This record gives sequence, C-alpha cells and structure tokens, in this order.
Amino acid sequence: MKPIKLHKNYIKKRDKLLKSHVLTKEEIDATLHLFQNDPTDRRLRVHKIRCRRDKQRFSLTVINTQYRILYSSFEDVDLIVYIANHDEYSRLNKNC
Amino acid sequence: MTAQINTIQNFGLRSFINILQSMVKNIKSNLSQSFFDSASLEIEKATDELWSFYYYIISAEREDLLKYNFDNVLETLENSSEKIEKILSTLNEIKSKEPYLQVFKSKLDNFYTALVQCKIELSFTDAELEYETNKAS
Repeated sequence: MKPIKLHKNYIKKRDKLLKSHVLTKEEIDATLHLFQNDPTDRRLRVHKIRCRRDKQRFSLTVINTQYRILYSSFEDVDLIVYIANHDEYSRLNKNC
Repeated sequence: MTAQINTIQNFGLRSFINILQSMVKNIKSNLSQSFFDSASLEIEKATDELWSFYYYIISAEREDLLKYNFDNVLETLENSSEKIEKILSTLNEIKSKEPYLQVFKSKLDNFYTALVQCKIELSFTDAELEYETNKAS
C-alpha cells in the first residue's frame, strides 16, 4: 500500500469544509481509507487531470458527494494537495 | 516574480473583491450602466493579471520558485474565490437580462476561473516543491 501525505493546503481547506458542515470527517476518512486499500474502486472515480503540462496529477471523488480530492502521485507517496467543490473542479480544465 | 506576487497582494485583490461584494449588494439600487461597464473593464484587467501570474508559475524554474513562501498568496486566492462564488450565486438570482449585466457576469465568471486555476496550480506547485526539497535533503 502506497502511503499518502496530506499537504498543509489540503488540511486547511478540509478543516474549513468540516467546520462549515459541508462534509463530514467520516466521509473524507472513508474515502481516503478506500483509496489506500483499493484505488481502483469505481466509487472513487480516480482519473488523471489532463492539463497543459502532463504531470502525475489525479483526482478522486469523495464518495457520494460532489467534492474532488486532487493529488500528485509520486513513486513513493501520494501527495494530497487540494479538495475542490464541483464548481472549482469544473473550472480546472478550462484553457488547458 | 516578486512583482507578480505583489500584484496579487498589493493590486488589492481583497479590497477589489470587497468593492465587488458591496456592488452586488446594491445591485437593486440605481447603479448605472456606466458603473457596470467600468467595473467589467476593471475585472477584465484583474483577470489578465491573474493569468499572467498563472503562466509565470507554470513556466518558472523550480529553483526560482523555491525562494518564495506562497502561504499568504494562497490564502488571498482562497478567500477571494469563496467571495466570488457567493457574488456569482447572487448574480444568478437576478432575473434582469440587461446586456451590461450579462457582460459583467461573464467577466466575473472568467475572473473566477482564473482565481481557481491560480490557486490550484499554486497549491500543486507548493506541495511538489516541498516534496522535492525534502527528498533531496
């Protein structure tokens, strides 16, 4: 199992969402737990973010929500970088 | 690069957005078409500034970017995009089909896209730089 590392920007944004009760800790924890154990699970809808520069950047869905967790996949770790709402996520590939 | 960061902080993104907020609150009062036309122009300029910041980030050398702490910029971009989301949502509730309002909304929508792309790109850049630096040390 590849370890995950939560970046400070992700933590900041996640805590904001938890505080405003938009998402629950259980939803996020269950999603990341599943991702670590079976990243191919269809509920996660893991896919590569295709943009200007072809980097190892991916997105996964917080199960049963419109939120997406964005991460960089390195050889030794998946670096969780950002959690985006549907509107933000839909803007991500514009002008790419 | 410092100039680019100063642009984000000093060009007054926060105060600019506060002005936009108060504008939208007063949208039902008698704001003139020229007022919105002028605001649309300002938003367009601000959007160009954000894109130029974005392109700088994606094209700069990693070594150059390492010199900067992006925390404040990211915070500004995050708070700003939250406010713009609310403004756009308020604008969507306004039924007026006046062309100048439609233009204003469209410009603001583009501005929001630029904000989102800047903050997400910067978040990735910041995280990847930290990872690469830790790995090298």
